[in-house]
Amino acid sequence: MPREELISPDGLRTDGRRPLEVRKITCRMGILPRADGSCHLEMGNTIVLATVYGPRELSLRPSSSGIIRCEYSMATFASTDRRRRGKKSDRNSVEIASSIKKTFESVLLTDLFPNSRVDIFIQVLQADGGERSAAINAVSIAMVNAGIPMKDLIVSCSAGYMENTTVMDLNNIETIVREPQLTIAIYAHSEKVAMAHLESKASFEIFENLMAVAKNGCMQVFDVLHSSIEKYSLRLVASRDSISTMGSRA
Amino acid sequence: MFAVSKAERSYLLETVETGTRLDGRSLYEYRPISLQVGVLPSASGSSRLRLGETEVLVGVKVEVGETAESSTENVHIYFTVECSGSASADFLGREAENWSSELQKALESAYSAASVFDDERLKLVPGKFCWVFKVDILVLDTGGNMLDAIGMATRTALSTTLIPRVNIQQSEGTFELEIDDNPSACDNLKVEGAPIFLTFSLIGSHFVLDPSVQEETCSRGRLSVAVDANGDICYVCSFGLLDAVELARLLTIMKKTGKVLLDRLDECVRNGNSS
Repeated sequence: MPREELISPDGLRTDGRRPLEVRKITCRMGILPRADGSCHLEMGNTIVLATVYGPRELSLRPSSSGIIRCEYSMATFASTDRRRRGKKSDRNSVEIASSIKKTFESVLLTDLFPNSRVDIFIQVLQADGGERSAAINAVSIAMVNAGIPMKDLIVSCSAGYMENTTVMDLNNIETIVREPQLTIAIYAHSEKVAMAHLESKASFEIFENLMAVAKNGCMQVFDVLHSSIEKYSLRLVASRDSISTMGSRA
Repeated sequence: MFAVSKAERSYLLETVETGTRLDGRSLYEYRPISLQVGVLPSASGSSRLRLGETEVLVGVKVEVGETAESSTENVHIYFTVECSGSASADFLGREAENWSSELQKALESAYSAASVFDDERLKLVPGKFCWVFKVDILVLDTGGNMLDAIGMATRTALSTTLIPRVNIQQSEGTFELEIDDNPSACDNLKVEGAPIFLTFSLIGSHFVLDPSVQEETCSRGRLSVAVDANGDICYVCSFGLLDAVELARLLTIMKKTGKVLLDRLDECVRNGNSS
């Protein structure tokens, strides 16, 4: 495979970003009216739809704390080559689903809803690298939308090391080279690491560097997500006011 | 499983008796439809359609494939329907697969009956090469009447599909296909013949068009018909009791509504995105 140039002499990446720049993030909350929480998140060309149902009744055995279930699937048309890998049983999907489940088990206050379960569904509509972190961010927002109590907001970002440069938030072209890549999810306020996933080997220095860059990326992501949650909530507050005035008139 | 309480059910039945429905529609009225085309840059054609609370996303991929010697068709079309787990609690495990195969089957038989792709321009090398259209349908949310939403979304996705031009060179009995990779050298697919589905639910003694999920739960029977622009019927599927007189009446309603819907869809595609 001919090696493409991933970073131009000017220090710009294939999609025109600087190394320490995340892609454009657009986030819409509450777009599926029938779900308890939903989020449509775009990170550059990666588009993810996360849906959360619950807490709802658990029909199986009783449990002292809530149970989380997670399903991750990729649409058949998500990437440019049409692969039948959208199936929920596919190994990659199962791995991502279970890692997301574990990440959120640590942050949700599951003790507050015993004998119940929370269902997370993630659908990747378009894949252009960073599906794992996009999925985590989308689920996080969907949890907020569903109003499920959490210790903190989880944000996620990836970082990679290539051509002697550490870059954050990798796109698809940067993902397919076999260079060290790290995806982390952190608690936005305490900055504790909730999940870390490294692919291919990296020396200790590079790893530390990747960690710092990924954390920095997470904070950039957090700023965007936080402001969109705020905007959404303010709109809700405004609509509540108009409803209450309607009620008092009646 | 979507549940309706006894009180809700009787209220629903009574309202239908009076000629209106829970959401204020009349018996033969569709819910508002909103449509977006060209939503997936990685597909040759795509659309996203929302019918009331039902939302589907369709992507079409176009490839050149080999075909059997005996086949005379220009186009092989394959449908896959995937019901996202988020759409409904019904879609857990095997139930989702049952839905998928049912919807897939309906689309396949309607499209093969309608012979949509009788277009000279789509001819490659008969008996050797043909076009392969892969239509991937993703159900994002279900608020009842998935089949109609899927039918309309598929037709619009196909109508926005771009087919690249192909040069065919013949040398010593072997064919070489050269696909023009200039993105502007593409033809739009003609889908005048593509059918759409219309579904009735039998509630009490009345038929309602485009049932919502509550109405589907309370229905005693169902009639789904695919019609094309000429008003020809390409596919019928019904459950429950129907008498012949009733059927004829419903089919005339379908023909009329189908025509209106098809015209509106075509107009939407011409104007780009619209609702």
